[in-house]
Amino acid sequence: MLTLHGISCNSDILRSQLKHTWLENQLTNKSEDDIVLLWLGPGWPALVREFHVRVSEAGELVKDFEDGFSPAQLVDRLKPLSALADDTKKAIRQAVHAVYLERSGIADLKKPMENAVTALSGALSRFFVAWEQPVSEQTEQEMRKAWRDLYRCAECLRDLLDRLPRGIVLP
Amino acid sequence: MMYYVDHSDTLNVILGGNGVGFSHIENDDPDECPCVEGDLIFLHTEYSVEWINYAQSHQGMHFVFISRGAPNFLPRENELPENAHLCHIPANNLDNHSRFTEFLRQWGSGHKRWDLLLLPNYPEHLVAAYLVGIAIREGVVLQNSELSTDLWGKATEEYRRLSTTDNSNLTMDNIKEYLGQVETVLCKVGQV
Repeated sequence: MLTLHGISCNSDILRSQLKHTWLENQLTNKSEDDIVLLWLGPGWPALVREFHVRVSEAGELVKDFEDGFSPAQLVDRLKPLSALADDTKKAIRQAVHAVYLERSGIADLKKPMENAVTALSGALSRFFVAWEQPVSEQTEQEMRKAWRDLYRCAECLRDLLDRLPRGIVLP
Repeated sequence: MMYYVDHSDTLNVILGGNGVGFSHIENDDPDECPCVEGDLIFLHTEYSVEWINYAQSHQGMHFVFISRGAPNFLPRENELPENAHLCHIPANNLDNHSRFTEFLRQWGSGHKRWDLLLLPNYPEHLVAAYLVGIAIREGVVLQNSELSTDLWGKATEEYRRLSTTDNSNLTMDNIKEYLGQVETVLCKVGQV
């Protein structure tokens, strides 16, 4: 898939933040034992402060990503097209968007992404409940189990995010 | 003063080594920031939320978020306060990038040219022609007179420049794989 490097696109920035900053640097870089150490020791401020925000951002991305990577947005940004009549711009936007949807197959990722975000959101809620329990042998086992579930869901979403384009797509 | 924060500790040679006097802030933690009003801080950080909050409460300082995989790993533009900016030039190309050199030159003269960091050049006539070509193939009726003067000529120039420039990956990802396709489209739409 041909993508444009020179022009920023919010969907790509969000995709990268979710995949790299959150899922890779804050979640899947930790082992089960790391998590237990955090639980018994210093805590995990990002879990309380950031993760629910990240889940809702993932929901936003899923809702918007077909438009977010579309070349249709370039029609209003490219200076050589700025003098075109509004109707002409609209026609070009519609045409390139349709070709982009057809050639990229990006819409096929929508359902799996929705499912992955829902699963991760549920796993995070369960993990949070387990995390808040007082320390005991039994609650540690429950927390470990909830972590494994959360980790698996995080990997699933990370792999799907990895399949999204790295910028605005030229079909 | 100019500073940089580098959570990965891999950019020391880059911003520290370019001879323009960057100082390394070793802790990626705004609470330990030694900067004062007027300073410029380049941030390769894992804690962008904390640094954005810090920037909001330190309006006299200037912040630039950089990334090795820019612009992919940067905060979103609409999250930034007025004194924080994005740099879309990948951090590991900064020292050699003419736009960064120009930014520093302008900064030294008292001009804040954030736009130099924001957008690398890209072939906008070529991209515009490519999209118009697709639209025409899909049945959109368009007259040459509607387009900016000499769109096709400029697009062809950009195409030729890209096909002979080594750093074309800085402007359009994988363009070389698609040159044939782009050329075909340009040839077709050039006849309109």
